[in-house]
Amino acid sequence: MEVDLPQLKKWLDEDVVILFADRNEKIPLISDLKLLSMGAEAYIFKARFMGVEAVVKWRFPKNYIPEELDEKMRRSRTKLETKILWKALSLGIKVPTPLFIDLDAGILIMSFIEGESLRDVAEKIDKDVLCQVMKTVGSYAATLHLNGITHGDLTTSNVIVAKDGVYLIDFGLASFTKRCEDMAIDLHIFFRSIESTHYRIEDVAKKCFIDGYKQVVGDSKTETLIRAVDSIRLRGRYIAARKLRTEWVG
Amino acid sequence: MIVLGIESSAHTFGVGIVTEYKENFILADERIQYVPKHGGIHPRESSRFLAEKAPMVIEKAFEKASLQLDDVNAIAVALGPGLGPCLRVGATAARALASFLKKPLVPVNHAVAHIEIGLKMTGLQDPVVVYLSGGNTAVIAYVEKRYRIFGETLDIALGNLLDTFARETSLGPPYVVAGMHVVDKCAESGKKFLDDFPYVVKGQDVAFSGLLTTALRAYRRGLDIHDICLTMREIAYNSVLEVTARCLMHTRKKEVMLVGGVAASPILREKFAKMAEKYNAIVGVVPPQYAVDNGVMIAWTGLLAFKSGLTIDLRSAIVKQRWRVDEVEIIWK
Ligand SMILES: Nc1ncnc2c1ncn2[C@@H]1O[C@H](COP(=O)(O)OP(=O)(O)OP(=O)(O)O)[C@@H](O)[C@H]1O
Ligand SMILES: Nc1ncnc2c1ncn2[C@@H]1O[C@H](COP(=O)(O)OP(=O)(O)OP(=O)(O)O)[C@@H](O)[C@H]1O
Repeated sequence: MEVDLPQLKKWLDEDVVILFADRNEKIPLISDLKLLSMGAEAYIFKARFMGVEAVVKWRFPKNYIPEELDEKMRRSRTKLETKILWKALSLGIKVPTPLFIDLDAGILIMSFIEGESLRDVAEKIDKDVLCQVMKTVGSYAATLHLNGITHGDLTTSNVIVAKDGVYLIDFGLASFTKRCEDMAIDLHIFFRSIESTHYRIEDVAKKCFIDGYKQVVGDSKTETLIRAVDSIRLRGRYIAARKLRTEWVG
Repeated sequence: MIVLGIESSAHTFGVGIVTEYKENFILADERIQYVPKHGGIHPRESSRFLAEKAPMVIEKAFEKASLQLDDVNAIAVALGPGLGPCLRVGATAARALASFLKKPLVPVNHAVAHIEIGLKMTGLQDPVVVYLSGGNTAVIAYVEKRYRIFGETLDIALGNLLDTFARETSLGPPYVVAGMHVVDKCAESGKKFLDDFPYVVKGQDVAFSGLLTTALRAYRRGLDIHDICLTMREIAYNSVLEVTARCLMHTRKKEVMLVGGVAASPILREKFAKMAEKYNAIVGVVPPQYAVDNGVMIAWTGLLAFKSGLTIDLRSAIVKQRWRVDEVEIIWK
C-alpha cells in the first residue's frame, strides 16, 4: 500500500519555537516520522512531536467514500477519539494522552506508550502477573462501561503492558452509548481475541478479567452482561455450535 | 472422475454433476426452488416440496449429463448448515443413491461449498471472501487449513437492512429492478448526508439494526427519502468495506471475492474495486447463478474432498443444522 507521506507532511510542516530562560530554540513540530502500522482507516506513525516521542494517527482520505461523507466521518471520529481519551484519563484509566489534533486533516497526535502488547506477552508472563493484568483490563472495561463508553475494539493487541502499568490504546472505534448490548459486544470481542490467539491461557485470562470487572460493577450486573454476551454468540444461520465459553462463569 | 452433488439446505433442491476437466467441468446443473406463497420459508413445507421433486431432479441430471447411473464415482451431499427437515431430504436421497449404486458418500459443508465454487468460477487463489446476502454478512479468510470467520454482522444482514427499509417505506417489493436495488436507485437523487446515522464497526464486526431504526425514524419524521437512502446506503456499504480492508491488512491477502445477492450491486462493486486498488488487491465477483444455492457447488466441493480421500459411512451421514464453516478442515489445500 502506498502511503501518501507528502500530503501528511504538508499538514504538519511547521516549526515551533521553544522558549528557554537563556535562549530560543526552533524545532520542527514533527520529525522522525516512521510508519508503525497501516490500518483500515488510519496510518499510525511513531514520531518526535516538539521533541518528545509520540504517535501520529492519520485518518487518510478514502476515494471509495463520497468526499463530503468521508470528511465528515474522519472529522467526527478523530474528535470522538480525542474526547474519549480525555474522559478515560479523567476516570483514572491509563491511556495515551492527546497532544495535538487537526480535525480538518484527521490527525491525532498522542503520547507514545513504551511497552509490550499483551498479545505478545500473554503466554510468556507468569500466571499471577497475567491475572493481575487481566483484572486491570477488566476493571478498565467496567469503568468505561459505567460511564457510558465502549471501547469498540477491545483485544489483547490493544493492551500495552508498560513499566508503570497497564495501558489501553486504540480508541478509534470507541463510542458513547447507553445500550447494554454495546457493552456486551466489548466483552464478546475481548473473549474472542483470547479464544483465537491465547487458547492455552483462556480460562485464567477470562476469569481474572471478569473478576476485575466485578470489582467495579458488582456480581449481578456482570452476570447479566455475560448472559447478553452468550445471546450475541448464538445469532445467525452459520453461527453454529459456537461454544458458549462463558458458561463456566458464576 | 465424476461426482454427483446434492443440495437441499433451505429452499432449493439442486443436483450437480461435475468432472475434473478444467473447462466445461459441469455436466449437469438441475435445480428446483420452493417459493412460499407468502411470508418466509416454512421448513416443513419446504422439505415436503423438495422431497416430492427430488427423484425427478436427480433423474433429469443424469439425462442432461448423458450418463449411466454407474458412471458416477461418488455421491456428495450438503449435510449442513441449514434447515433440518430440508437437509434430511438431501441426506436421505444421497444415502439411497450411494447404497443402491454402491458408491462412496462424501459429506460437504454448504458454506464451504459456496466458497469453493466461487474460487472455481472467479479463478481466485486465496481471497478474502466477503459474503453479502439477505441472511448473511461475513468476511472470511483461509488460515491454517480452515476458512475462518474474520468478521460478521452482530445483528441483521446487509441485504436484510436494504430489503426491510424498502418494505417499510414502500420502495419495494420488488427490491431489485433492472439489476439495481431500489435503495441504491433511491440514493441516486440524494443530495446531502444526514447527521447522526450510526456507523457501527466493532472490532472486526458490523451491525445494522441501529442504522435501520435511525433511517426509519428519519423517514417518519418526513426527511427526504433520497437523502435517507443515500446516507444509509453509504454508511452500510462503507462499514463492510472497512472490515474487509482490515482483514486484507491482517491477513496480507491480495484478493477479494464477493459472493451473495448484494454483491450484484454495481455501486458496491465499484467501491470494492477502488478500495482493493489501495491495498494492491484484485476483486472477483461470483456469478449470481453460482452464488445462490445449487448442486454444482456441492458436487465440486465433494470432488475436491473425495480426491483427498474423504468419505463417510452411510450411517454416520446425519445432518448438522448448525455446522460452522470454520469447523471444517480443508484437507484439499
Ligand atoms: N499510543 C501508542 N503508543 C504505543 N504504540 C501505539 C500507540 N498507538 C498505537 N500503537 C501501536 O500501533 C499499532 C496500531 O495502532 P492502532 O491499533 O491504533 O491502529 P489501527 O489502525 O486502529 O489498527 P487496526 O486496523 O488493527 O484497528 C498498535 O497495535 C500499537 O502497537
Ligand atoms: N443488484 C442488487 N443490489 C443490491 N442488493 C441486491 C441486488 N440483487 C439482490 N440483492 C439483495 O440480495 C439479497 C438476496 O441474496 P441471496 O439470494 O444471495 O441470499 P438469501 O437467500 O437472501 O440468503 P442466504 O442464502 O445467504 O441465507 C436480498 O437482500 C436482495 O435485496
